Amino acid sequence: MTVLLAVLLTGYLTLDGCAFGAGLLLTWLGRDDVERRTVLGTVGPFFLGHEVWLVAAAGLLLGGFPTLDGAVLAGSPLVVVLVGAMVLRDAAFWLRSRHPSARRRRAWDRAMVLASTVLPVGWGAALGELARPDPATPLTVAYPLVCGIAVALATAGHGAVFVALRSRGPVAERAAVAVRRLAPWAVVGLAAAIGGVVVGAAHPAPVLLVAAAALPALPVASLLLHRGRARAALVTSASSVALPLVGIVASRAADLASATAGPATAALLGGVLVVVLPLMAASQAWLWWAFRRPLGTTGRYF
Amino acid sequence: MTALDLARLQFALTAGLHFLFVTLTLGLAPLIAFMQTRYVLTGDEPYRTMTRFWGQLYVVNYGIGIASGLVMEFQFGLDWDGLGAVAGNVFGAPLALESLVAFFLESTFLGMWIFGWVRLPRWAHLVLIHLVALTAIGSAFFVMVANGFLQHPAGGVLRDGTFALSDVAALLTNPEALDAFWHVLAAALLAGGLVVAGVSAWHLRRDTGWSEVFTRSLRIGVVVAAPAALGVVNRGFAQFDYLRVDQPGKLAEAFGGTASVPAARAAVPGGQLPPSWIAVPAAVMQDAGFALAGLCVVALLALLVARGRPTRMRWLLRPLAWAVPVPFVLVLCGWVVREEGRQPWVVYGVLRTSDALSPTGPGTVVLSLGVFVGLVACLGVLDVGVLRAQVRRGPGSAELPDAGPVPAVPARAL
Repeated sequence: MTVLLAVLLTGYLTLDGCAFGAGLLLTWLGRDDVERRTVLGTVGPFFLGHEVWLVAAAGLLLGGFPTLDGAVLAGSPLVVVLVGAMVLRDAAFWLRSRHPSARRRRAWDRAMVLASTVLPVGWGAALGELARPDPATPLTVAYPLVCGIAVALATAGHGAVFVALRSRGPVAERAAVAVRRLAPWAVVGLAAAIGGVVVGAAHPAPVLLVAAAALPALPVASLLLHRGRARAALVTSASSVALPLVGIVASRAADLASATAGPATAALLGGVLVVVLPLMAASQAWLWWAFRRPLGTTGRYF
Repeated sequence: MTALDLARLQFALTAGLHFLFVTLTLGLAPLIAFMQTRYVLTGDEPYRTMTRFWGQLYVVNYGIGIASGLVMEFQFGLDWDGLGAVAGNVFGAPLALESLVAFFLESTFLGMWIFGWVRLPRWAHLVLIHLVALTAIGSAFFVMVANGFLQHPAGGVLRDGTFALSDVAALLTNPEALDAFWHVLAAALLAGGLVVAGVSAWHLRRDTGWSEVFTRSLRIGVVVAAPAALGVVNRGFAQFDYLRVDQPGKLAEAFGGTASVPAARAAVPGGQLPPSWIAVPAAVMQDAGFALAGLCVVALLALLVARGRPTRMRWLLRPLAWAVPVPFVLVLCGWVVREEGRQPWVVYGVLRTSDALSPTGPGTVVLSLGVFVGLVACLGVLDVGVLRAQVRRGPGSAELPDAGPVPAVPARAL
């Protein structure tokens, strides 16, 4: 179940990371209403299907690790900020194009950019805390912020690759430019986060190894995109988000495993999951298969 | 107010508001599935228009409803970790199943359904909306199982102060869960049917020009709402059986009248009864519920007499339109009775609400109360605003993606 939680959380941030990036860069990638709807439309069919990985992870946390969610969430203002940003981001996605008024749409666009920036920064900060829980070292205040910025840069790059893959014309060109410009900064950010782990972490080795593997990811993705191999670029940029996360969770795996639910509960959840996980996987596979090609202008909703 | 009062208020407001979104989702999905089925089977254009018109309302409500649900989910961890510590092994399991299984599938399929108008073959698209409706019902079931455990901890055994799961069948067949589930489902169908009927009535009264679409919708709405209303009443009274055994205090204070209270005090654990004011929402729920059931049955009879032509029953159109918000008020009343009626317990007879609170100071609770309730309230206002605008604009501008009209033959081909 620890593995499943890791998979769900990693999957969530990698998948919704595309939406974070697209939202964060919305006003830069899209200069008018049509272009912005194109950017949002790249995420389109996947928005619900990717977001729900978080709900699944939270549900598993609640049911499979009943003592942990209290410890993780209790009294943390960061969680309040994250939830607030999530609500704002969701509202912006759903409601933005429901208003005929251009002014209202632009206001929602600004809200989208704000929320899509706060979200990866907040997640990065939370992950930084997870990787480096030692409160005694003097870098404690700055470190979560460093991690937050690193995650924001990585998801912005990853999201830009996604938009480049699923759009054409000026939007796609700008997305490719965004990846190229963001890549070096993403490397710097990740290196800084890794440096912080070296200085004060409890279990540095798995985090370092895996995260270090992610260092070249975004520059490689940029290169692949330039060569026209957009799908390969997306897989590579996904690893820039996923690998550090895998490292962090692996470093705390023992703590997670010790907090699992009692045997009867685990048996019930496990039993149901054995049947249902293939269904969940199949539904997501159907989603990606059915919408593998970008939708045209008729496929507009967001 | 103490931290406990604030936390309880926060939960009541966020859960209550979230449930309003849920009621519409649960009630509308089966109706849309029905309309789309009729369309695919008959090819009749009005059914397609209906599916897309009601479907766009459903989608907006669902999307914003998720945001309210996220707020609620995080509350459990934030303010009530005592509950997780004591009952998490049992209470958490159905909630995990709800989000992992039902909700995961529901959201994935709905996301595909929204864009499937331009990408998927008709039959695949139809299957999706049916799966959405089914998983929505599954979601409701698991949530009622979790809440049912709080009301009456069946299926769990207490060891050293924490619950362990001992009997899955007992957990799932807990009358406090099952009987309440049917009542909630009927209430949701009543709400969905009445929304469809009432909004259709509003359009028909104003002759907005979509008479076939709204005539058929009105019929469907009334035909669903009337039996659903009778079902709600029937399943409501059916719950008295288990309340008599499990929670005589709730029964006495909410429904029993002052004479039955002293006897109940002797029968409840700790001799503590829930607050007596729950008799007010209980009375509102019952009295307005009966009136609503009456309206729906009259509407059904009138439709039969008018041979399905609402233009011959114009006197009913305004009451139907006005009745739209009522089921939403009533479900809130019902939940207040259910949750206040189990006080002072959060796990009835085992864990007091005051002992389940996280050790956060009142300052943090005030912050989260302000932020979360403010957020969910804004979401509610936005939701109603957007839905009203979509309703007023009518089916002509349904916003779901569309493959567009069949293209005309290009001039060259001629």
